[in-house]
Amino acid sequence: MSGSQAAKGAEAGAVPSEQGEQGFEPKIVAFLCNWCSYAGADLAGVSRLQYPPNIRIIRVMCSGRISPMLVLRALKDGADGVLVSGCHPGDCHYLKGNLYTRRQLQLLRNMLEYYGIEADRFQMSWVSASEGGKFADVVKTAVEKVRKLGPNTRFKVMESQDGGE
Amino acid sequence: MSDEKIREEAKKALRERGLKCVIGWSADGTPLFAETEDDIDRLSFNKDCANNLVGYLTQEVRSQRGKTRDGKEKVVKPVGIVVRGCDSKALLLLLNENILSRKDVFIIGVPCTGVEDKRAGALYRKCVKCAMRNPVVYDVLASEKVPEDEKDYSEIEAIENMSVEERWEFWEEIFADCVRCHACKRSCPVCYCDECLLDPTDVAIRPDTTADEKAHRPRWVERSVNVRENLLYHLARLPHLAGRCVDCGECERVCPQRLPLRLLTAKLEKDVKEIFCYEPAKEEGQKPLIAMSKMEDENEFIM
Repeated sequence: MSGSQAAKGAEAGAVPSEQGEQGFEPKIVAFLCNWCSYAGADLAGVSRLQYPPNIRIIRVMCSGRISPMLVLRALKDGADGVLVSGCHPGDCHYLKGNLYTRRQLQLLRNMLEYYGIEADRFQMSWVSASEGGKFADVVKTAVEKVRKLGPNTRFKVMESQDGGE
Repeated sequence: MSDEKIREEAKKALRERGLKCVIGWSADGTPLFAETEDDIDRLSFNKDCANNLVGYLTQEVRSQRGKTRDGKEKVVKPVGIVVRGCDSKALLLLLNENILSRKDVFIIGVPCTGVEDKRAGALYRKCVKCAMRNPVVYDVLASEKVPEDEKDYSEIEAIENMSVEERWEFWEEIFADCVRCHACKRSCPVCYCDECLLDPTDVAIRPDTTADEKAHRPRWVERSVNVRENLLYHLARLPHLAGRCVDCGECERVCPQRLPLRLLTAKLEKDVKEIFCYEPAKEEGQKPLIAMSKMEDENEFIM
């Protein structure tokens, strides 16, 4: 028992940011658009800005490519949160991709909440290629919000109820 | 009274416009495809006529399309249909999305005061308070228009006022009963895709489809029927209906488990109305909500 506590302590030491009550580290799937947000994340790295290591980045060509199915599937498969990030309105490389996705995903966000899945598990941001600092802030905020919500057990709990698939 | 008018107009259109058939209801409420004048004499509209026939119309028109052997477009014979208010909204949506063309359909509208659920012996819930009793698109109207009610969202608001946990438990309990027969999406008049990504068995297989293609098709929702997949299935249906669902209530009507599916779609409709001031199938030539974008759309939820 003391061993596991020590292990936990070591884990906590490895992550300098403040810990949640149970030492829960969320996993967040981040879909970043190739032209702005991914470059922004790159800039954050190149500028050596610190941000929590809880995100798993998937690069897509445009935030307009994000189908609501991708978000749902990530949440179903156990991601604690999903972050979609694209160019600022008006800056989209493909002119309007981010505007289309904004409409669709706003409705999805509302429906998630209506369905009983906390809306903060799904977040969106606009980060341009020059906003490395903003990207670090966005990730910090997103991780904090999801950490407050705790692990995403919505689809997990039922799996054990059904005795697996 | 309106039966006479329906038959009269249907016969006239069959002769003058060369319709392939007229899709309507027979007196006991079963769908009827009337191809001759004798068949038309069996057309009727009463409280038992609950089916939304627009799905059949899409099939009838689409099955005629294609090319002849020498590469010419086949001639599509127009199809007649009898529609109530809610059906006509679905039909208008299909016209707006260019799935059907106006010249391919002949529409007989029947103002409706509600249809009865035979199993319960009472009006369907969607019919008790209905804001679309009169057809919005038609060539002829079979009877006088009837007064409509205000749209009632009180049930939706009750769910909105629950806590997040309560809501999840609420849906979990409902969809535990779902048998995933897919009747809700099969019957939906605005779900017209040949292949549906929510149904892994629903693959359009051509002679040249390889085993590899079949095996590597993405499976967004698994086939197994358990609460987890059921919940995902019903949640995943919604983005596809955003700004398109006209709340005709066909999904709820055909559900063998009698799940209150309209609680989901009505919420979607309410959101679309509140956020984007958009009402699906409001007027002819309207663009789909998701195919439009505005710089000044709400941005507040975005970091």
